[in-house]
Amino acid sequence: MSDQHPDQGAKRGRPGRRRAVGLGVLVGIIAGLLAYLLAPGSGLSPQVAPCAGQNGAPEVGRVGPSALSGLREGVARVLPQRVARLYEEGTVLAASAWTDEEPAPPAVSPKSLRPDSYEMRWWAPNGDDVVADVLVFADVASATRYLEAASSTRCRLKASRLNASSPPLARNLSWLNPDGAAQADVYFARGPRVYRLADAPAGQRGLEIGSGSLSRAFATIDALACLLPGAHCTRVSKSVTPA
Amino acid sequence: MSRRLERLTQTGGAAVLAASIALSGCGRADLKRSATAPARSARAARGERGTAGPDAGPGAKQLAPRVAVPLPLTAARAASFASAVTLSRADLPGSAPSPRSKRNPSEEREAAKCGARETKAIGGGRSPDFQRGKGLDRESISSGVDVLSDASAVKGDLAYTASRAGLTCYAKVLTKSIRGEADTSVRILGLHVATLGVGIGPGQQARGIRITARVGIAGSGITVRLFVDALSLPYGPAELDLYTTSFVQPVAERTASELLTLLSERARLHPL
Repeated sequence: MSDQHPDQGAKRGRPGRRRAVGLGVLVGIIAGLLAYLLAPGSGLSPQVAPCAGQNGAPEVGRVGPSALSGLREGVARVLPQRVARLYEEGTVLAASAWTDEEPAPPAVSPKSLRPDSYEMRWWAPNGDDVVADVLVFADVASATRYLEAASSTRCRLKASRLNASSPPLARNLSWLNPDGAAQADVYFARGPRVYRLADAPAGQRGLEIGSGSLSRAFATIDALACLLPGAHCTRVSKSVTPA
Repeated sequence: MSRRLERLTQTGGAAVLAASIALSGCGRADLKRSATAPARSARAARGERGTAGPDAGPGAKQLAPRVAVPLPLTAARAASFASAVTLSRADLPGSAPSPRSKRNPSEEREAAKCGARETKAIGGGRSPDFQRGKGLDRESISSGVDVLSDASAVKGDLAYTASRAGLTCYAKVLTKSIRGEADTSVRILGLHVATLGVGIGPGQQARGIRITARVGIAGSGITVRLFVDALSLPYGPAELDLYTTSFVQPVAERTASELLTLLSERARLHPL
């Protein structure tokens, strides 16, 4: 029979054991929190913060609301007749090329000036997330500078750039967007306007972009881009009526 | 309730006429794909933040703002308030106002038989019907304001959304009205009325009804769904209303939420 009461022995060892367990739990919680905060889909990844290439890009102009009608009609051509489900639309700022910020709702005052731009977002029947934008700058030079910056791999995660198959002079870009989804973009400029079409295919969220995984998305957006005003595609797919 | 029903029948009837125009130009190929809502991507999930689904029912909590009404409510003040709050063409890029269809006194009498007693409005006003898009992309959006005697009257007037009997009555009157408006080439193959809720911010939700009609071109085999949504937001003694019609898919939930938020923000800036 032990001359130590079993409870006493347990009591003597408990404070030290409790401290070790508590510290372990705390470290585990902190590690989990850090992993969550720094994961690409959390929206708090340090790469999402503005960087030099993005900060130098020109901004869109400001216009009265009536100027937006033509922009909307142009962008709406991309997916007409309810082929896809429109879920969001509105004006955007130049930085949206990097931030993927949602389009803004109408201004409270009907007389307010708005950004000279328009964006529409759809869910395609296959689950892809498709976006089309037009951004209008002060002049051709500003639009060209914006096109260079927006279609650049700078300030983006896992980005690659290549020439698009269409429209003429368009650029393709693949990257991980701020939601951690693989995304295919096509950009082209026509005068002071820059057009962008983007496709984030369903089920491609993660830390890497698989080789060839965006080839179908690029084929889609390069073809659809021919429907945008002024695209002037010379080689047209049978299923696309050019603008 | 009959005011809202009257507006719905006008809106629905106009939409059916528009359907005949839209569908007459369509071939089967245009309607091959149906725009079903796919699983959401990460971007879409983020975009839908802050809105409630179509099945958000009367059980959802509602935090209506407290509205000060320092002066007696009159028809003139109600009209002025409505004029400041309701939607304009500037709020809907790509839209143009279209003429409103005429009132039908016999429909109003039938609507009055549906459930709740008529709540007399002190005044209010309505925006034009704004239409945009072509063919199956065509949608129309309008808004209205009704000023009643007090917030309790508004609560009673909006209670129809919780009543199954009210919805059934609505469906009957609307079916009859819309069929009456349709021409011989367009047929209403079915009509369904359900409650609808749209979130417009923390603790606030607009409630109303969604009418889904199947519309067909006689002899062609082509059918398309028509969605007519009527949403109301209580604002003290006033009701802020949004009406939308759209083919194939309803007007985007986020669009409805943003426009209702706009009505609410304007109401705050222009005291009753």
